[in-house]
Amino acid sequence: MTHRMVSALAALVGLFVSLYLWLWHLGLMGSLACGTGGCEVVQTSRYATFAGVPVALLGVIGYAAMLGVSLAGLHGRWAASRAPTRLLAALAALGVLFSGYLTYLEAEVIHAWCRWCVSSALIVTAIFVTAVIGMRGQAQGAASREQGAGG
Amino acid sequence: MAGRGGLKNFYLLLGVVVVGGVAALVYKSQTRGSATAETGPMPVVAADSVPPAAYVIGSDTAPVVIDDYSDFQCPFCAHLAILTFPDVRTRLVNTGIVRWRFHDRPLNIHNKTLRAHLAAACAAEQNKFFPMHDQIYFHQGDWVESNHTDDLLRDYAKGIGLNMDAYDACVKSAKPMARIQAESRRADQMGINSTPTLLVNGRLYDSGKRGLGFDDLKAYVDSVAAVVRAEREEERTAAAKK
Repeated sequence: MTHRMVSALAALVGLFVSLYLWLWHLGLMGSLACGTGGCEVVQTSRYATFAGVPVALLGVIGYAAMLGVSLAGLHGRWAASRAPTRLLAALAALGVLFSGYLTYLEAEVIHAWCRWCVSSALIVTAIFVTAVIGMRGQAQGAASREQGAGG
Repeated sequence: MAGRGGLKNFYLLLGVVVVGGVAALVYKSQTRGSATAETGPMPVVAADSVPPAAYVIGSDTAPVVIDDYSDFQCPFCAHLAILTFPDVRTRLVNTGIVRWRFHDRPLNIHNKTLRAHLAAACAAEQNKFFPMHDQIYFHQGDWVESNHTDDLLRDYAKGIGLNMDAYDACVKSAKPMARIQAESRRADQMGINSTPTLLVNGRLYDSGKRGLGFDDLKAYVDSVAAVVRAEREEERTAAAKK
């Protein structure tokens, strides 16, 4: 399995997690499957929206973009290009930064943990790490091809 | 780069995840289980008269009366207050369809809820219960976890423009506490032991089954309002015939 396939699968799982939280925001999911009640505290806090947009919706958009880039990178001319991996790394880096901020809020400001948010933070970190590994692999592959052409 | 066989297997796996994810979402949306399952099973409340509430908004001629039994520390109540109640207020209360009555129902599993109910009652003495209600629910995560709960509640009171001398005196005397606890005991006797519990024209609204979203509630309110209007029309016609 290539790094883009791993990213696509992780992004799909992240998409469902965000979708679940967003649908809950819209009142379509009853109570959150959480156990401790911390999810509801986090999701009903004032930090559950960012610039007027529900954070969960931002997650849906972000994961959908990462899924789209990962899948596009498996086909046609994009399969041989390094651009999709770079774009994926950039998107995931934004996600990691934003998740880091949200995790800080849970720990230090809201004082409650939402397991779905923590899962999402882990997923986007996994996508970032996978993309970085993919970029390094591509760089090494390009270097060895250059050496082969030169020798 | 993946071969054709590898891609096929990958899309198969992706398909399995999609089917599993969609199935889980559909299942969860249809079993809106424990939205009110804060404690114990759903209460059964007869459609008899409900005790008067301390905090009321809406026209007294509204065809639908909703009695909201809520606890300020309950996350599900915060969900109702933050996500549903603003729409209820603008689209149902302000339009004369619903009269909303808030009843104190502090649950004894919550360690700080009584302080919040007291703060809201003190705001009510200055006719600002609902602004304080909003503040308390919007900041639930803050004051519940804080070691300075009373200070935070005081900040919210100040923020909504209360006379702070009167507020401080009210909190210090804890005068409304006896009424809050009496109302809570009455609710207990009625079998209301989970929050939020909504009674619509005295009948239990099954939020576990119907959901607590605005659209869920509005659909039910519309059906009740239609029946009430038809009954009122019949009464008017009968009175005119006499």
